[in-house]
Amino acid sequence: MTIDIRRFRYIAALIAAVCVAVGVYAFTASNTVPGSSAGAGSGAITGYTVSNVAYTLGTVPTNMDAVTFTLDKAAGTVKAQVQTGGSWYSCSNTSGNNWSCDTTSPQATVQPADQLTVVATS
Amino acid sequence: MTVYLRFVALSGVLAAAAIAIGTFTATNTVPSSRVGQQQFAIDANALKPAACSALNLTTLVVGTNGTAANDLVLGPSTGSLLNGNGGTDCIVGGGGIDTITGNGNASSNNDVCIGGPGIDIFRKCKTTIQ
Repeated sequence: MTIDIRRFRYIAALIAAVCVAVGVYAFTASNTVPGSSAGAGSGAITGYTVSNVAYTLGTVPTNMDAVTFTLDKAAGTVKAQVQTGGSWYSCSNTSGNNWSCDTTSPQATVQPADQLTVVATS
Repeated sequence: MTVYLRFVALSGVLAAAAIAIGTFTATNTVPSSRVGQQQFAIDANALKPAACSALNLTTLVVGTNGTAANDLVLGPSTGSLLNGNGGTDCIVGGGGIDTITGNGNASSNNDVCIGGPGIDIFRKCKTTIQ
């Protein structure tokens, strides 16, 4: 029987490597790691276009009782301001993308009303 | 031959790394959304009632006497004398018994006079709305 020394060394090294791997696996304690969530993503943020702005004057013509307008897309929350730095008024959806903002509490007046600002979110 | 094998091995390692990175990078699902702010000037033209929609108003007058320009005249809550004076005006009387006088020149009188609550008197108005 002839023993190939090179082959014998190769097999011995392989057996040794397997034994080391098994030993490491056997003596490696396991940690309990709960599942977790992490990730990244993106979504577009776009704005609205306001049109058909109209004001409703009060019985006293200098009072502004309401402002109405139309948004180009559906919105969830809409608020309006009729004076720079003034009160913000909540708006309600009347139909479709049409909105109306009651400006009587506090009562808005045509002066010093100077600028309509509409803020909307989906 | 050896160089070729090294190249193949390196390519394999890089491919495995790329696959591993792709596998372990989680993605979030983020829907598109909308938020916006828009501003408009509030002037006489913006405030005019629907009855005056055909008029191009340039001056807001809170009181009783209009100017030579095209005015939006907004009267007080009590009865008063309102005059549009020159220009093509939109005159809103408000409460009480008002006397509303449009443009003095009848030939170019295109004033719109809106009385509001109460019994009102209209003079030289092209359109009158009680």
